[in-house]
Amino acid sequence: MNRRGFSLFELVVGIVIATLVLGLGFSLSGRVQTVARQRGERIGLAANLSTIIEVLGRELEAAGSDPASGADVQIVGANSLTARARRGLLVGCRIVADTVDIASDSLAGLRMRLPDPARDSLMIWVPSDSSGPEGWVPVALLGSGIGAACPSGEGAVRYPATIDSTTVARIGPSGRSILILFESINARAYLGAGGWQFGIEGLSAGATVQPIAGRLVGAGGLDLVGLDRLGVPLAGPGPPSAIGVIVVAESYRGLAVGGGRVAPVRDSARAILRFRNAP
Amino acid sequence: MIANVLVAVGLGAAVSAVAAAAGDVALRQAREVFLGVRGRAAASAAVASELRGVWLDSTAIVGPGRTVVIGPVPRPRADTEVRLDARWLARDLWLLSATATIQDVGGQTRARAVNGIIVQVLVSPIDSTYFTRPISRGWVAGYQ
Repeated sequence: MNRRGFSLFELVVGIVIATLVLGLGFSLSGRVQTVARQRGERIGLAANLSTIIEVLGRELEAAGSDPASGADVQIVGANSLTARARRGLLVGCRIVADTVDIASDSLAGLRMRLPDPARDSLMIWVPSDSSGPEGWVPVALLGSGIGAACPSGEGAVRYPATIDSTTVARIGPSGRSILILFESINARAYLGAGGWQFGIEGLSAGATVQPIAGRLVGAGGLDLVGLDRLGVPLAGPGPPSAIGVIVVAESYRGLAVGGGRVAPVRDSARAILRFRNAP
Repeated sequence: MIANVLVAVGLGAAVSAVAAAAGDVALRQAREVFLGVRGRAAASAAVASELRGVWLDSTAIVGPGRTVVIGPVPRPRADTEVRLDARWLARDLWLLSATATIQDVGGQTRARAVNGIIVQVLVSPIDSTYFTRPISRGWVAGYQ
């Protein structure tokens, strides 16, 4: 019998085998794609988590507390804190009741910037005397600076400010003291367009929250706890010596597998942020 | 089938390449962070060790408005150089600061850290020697 071509049965068997092999191949490539995307999501997520911890750590690094001005950091909720974030150290060369002259190049080597009165404030160091212990007295700046000169002849920038007479008297006749330049900030979890995010907001008028990283797993994705020197959570409202941070975040995209969606990749990080000038 | 296997192998290679690149970046970042931490630690240690140094006598000589260059201190490691100086700020307050520089074998700077502490220079009423006292919130990082 002279047979040419395949029988129907042979064709069906061939098609079934080819379908199985193709299915296996597609399944394998789908898994490889899933792993690749999952790895990419995990890398991005790890970067977001470390960014949150690092930024928060840098903002709080120089925080402290003293009898005159109290604590720099206040925890105002499980996922929010306010802080005086240090922006520089300056020298006030002539501090009187209505102005403070800042020596403009006294610490140029450390690249300190001058204040922006719209968002920055100062703390003036006063020595201990009969009227109280030493400490830093917070002072708000009332306007922009103008060119001036220190009594010693150094270049200066003069800012209007209201400084109480006790502080002026405690600084002494030289009128010279050191200043901490700080910005009051609120670091918190907030609900943005893309879900819960971690952001920092200046507390000056007109400031908006600046997104840092996300997406947090709900409001509880950022957990902040005040700690004492031994790392034990504070029972009362006392000034913290460190902050315990737990961040739980997830990736922005879900992964499509077999036409269905799976949950986004989720990861967490925790750290204890100690203050440089802890009380 | 061969095509699918090739696609899978290609994707696998791409994944490996991405993972290797990410690992390399992470390793480099970790090394930079480590060097930064080492620099800050060296600067802090140098400052802490000089709170009672002989430079205190110089503060009385140079007086207000000046900087006392304390100079390089013994190297904590072969690749790390630390320089110290004390800068007058106000009254009897000085900023004692250290700059630590970590270099590679070619002399190129890999990391640099500045750390300082504000101290009050006082005279002992017993023997008239100078000593320092860190004031509250004294630590100052380099802002750069």
